[in-house]
Amino acid sequence: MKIFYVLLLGVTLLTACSDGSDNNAAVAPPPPVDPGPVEPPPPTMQSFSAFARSVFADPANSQPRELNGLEFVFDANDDDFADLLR
Amino acid sequence: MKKLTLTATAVAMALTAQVQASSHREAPFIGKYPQVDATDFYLFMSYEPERTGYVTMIANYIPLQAAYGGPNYFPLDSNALYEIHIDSDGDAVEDRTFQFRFSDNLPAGGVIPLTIGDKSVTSVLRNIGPVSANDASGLNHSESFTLTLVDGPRRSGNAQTLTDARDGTAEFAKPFDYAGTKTFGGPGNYEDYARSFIHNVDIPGCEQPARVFVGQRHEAFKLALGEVFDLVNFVPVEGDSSPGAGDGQGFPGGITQDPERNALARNNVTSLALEVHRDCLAGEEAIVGAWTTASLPQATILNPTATFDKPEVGGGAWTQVSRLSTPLVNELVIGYDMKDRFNGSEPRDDGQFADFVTNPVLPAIIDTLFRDAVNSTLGASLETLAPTNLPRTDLVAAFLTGFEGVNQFASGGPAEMLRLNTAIDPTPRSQQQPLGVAAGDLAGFPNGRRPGDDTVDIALRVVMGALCHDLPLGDGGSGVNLGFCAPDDAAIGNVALTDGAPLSAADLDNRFPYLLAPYPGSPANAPLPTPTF
Repeated sequence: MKIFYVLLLGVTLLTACSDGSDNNAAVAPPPPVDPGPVEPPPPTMQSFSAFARSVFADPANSQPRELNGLEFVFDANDDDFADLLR
Repeated sequence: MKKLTLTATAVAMALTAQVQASSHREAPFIGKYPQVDATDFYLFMSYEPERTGYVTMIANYIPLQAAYGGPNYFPLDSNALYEIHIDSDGDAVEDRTFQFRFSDNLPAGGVIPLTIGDKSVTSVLRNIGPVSANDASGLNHSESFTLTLVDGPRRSGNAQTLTDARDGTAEFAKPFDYAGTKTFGGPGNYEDYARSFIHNVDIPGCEQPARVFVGQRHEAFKLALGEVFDLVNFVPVEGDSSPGAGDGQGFPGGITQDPERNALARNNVTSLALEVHRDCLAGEEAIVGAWTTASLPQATILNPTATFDKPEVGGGAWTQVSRLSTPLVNELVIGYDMKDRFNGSEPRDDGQFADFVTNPVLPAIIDTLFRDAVNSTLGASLETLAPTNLPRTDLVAAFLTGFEGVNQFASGGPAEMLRLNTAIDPTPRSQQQPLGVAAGDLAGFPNGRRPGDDTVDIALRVVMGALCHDLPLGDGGSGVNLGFCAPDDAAIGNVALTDGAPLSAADLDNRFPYLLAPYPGSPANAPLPTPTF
């Protein structure tokens, strides 16, 4: 009886994988699967003072830097930007 | 539906609507930076006599200026880049850009000193003596600007410095704000002083010199500002049989026209006004698109030991923080969380905002606020006051494409910018219709925008479905349906909605820069400015 059930399961699986009449017929594609909410990439940690210095190095006519996706570490000290203020 | 339409028609006859609002502190972030906050943008064929063929562009900045705001008053931002962009082929990309940069200047010897006892001490105020066109020696802080024309993309095109046609200099002076009548030697003198700052400008390759003026002006935008944003704290339908009739025979309880409803009557703005011949703006088509932006350096470092010259330092790429063309778009159409995104965006990328136009929220808000009251007052049973033709192709035409045969480019996608057909002659001031095209005046909004166009009332009516009803655009002013939607789609689309703050071209000058002299900072309760030409 156990062997019978194994054979029956095999037949069922084979049947399920075919269209029941022609093994060469195209198999219907599976329905699209909703991947669910996509996790945003983790923010990139960035030293704020280093970022500010790099922005200042850009010419006015370059493209502004994107800020979304950055998380700043505020590590500036007193007078840290004194050179930029000259 | 027939009953509904008839009822709506009755409402419309009872109401003569106007609605105005522009772009004053419209977004959360730009409210922090009033110096670069664009409030209104005008684009129209000059209607000053003897200026046939010229296009006037006016970009207003610094909203809600209280005229008495001394001693510093309202200088523009010397760290900012102010721009007026021109699209001459309909691709929503600038083909020419006029760039304004400002400088803050002290007298040649520094702040004017006064001898106090045995010491020479710098004076404490911006103005310490009378100011006139011929004598600014009492002024400590003046402003000047340069004007650059960029052909092609605004950040990489060919830039040329424009010069004063009179003397070839590249530095243009800007008048001091209207501190008050004593500073300028009496009432009426300020306009003579300000007009001495209208400069003729040579544009390479352009046969006709341009004119430029930058300075403080009386706020031309008129609106019951507080009431509008207090959940429309009035019944926004004409309460008289016609505007100004004073008979109370319009919509029961509706608002009536009263200049005192204009909350901005004693406020000023700062105008960047430019008049350029159409031959120097338009491409193969006679239509030009235009908008204004302001940008700041992406990074700002505050100076802990600030000086007049260097309270802060900016660096990095120009980063756009303000954008304005058609009035009320960012204020009343764009979602609250996207308003500052809109301010930083360019017209070619406006697809990201399409849902706000095709499925607008404002009609639903008005429906929520007033449907029950309207039905109760009229004994009607309107199911909704909001137009039902979704997606709103009528609003796409009004805000994003222009109207075929009037101001629509032959090619190009939807983008929010004012579009002006420069082949349509201007309407003389005395004949202008405040409701513009909707009143059969093809030289008015939304074919560009004139200072006397009552865009609040126009926009309110259009949003509520005016374009679904006949407009007087046929022969002899006969009614024409533009084909976007049907009257049944807009129950109150033919209602005269209004904020009760009237505006017309008669309120403005008939010459460049059209906006009136500012309201003075002193004396208190000075009379409101009136046209001088």
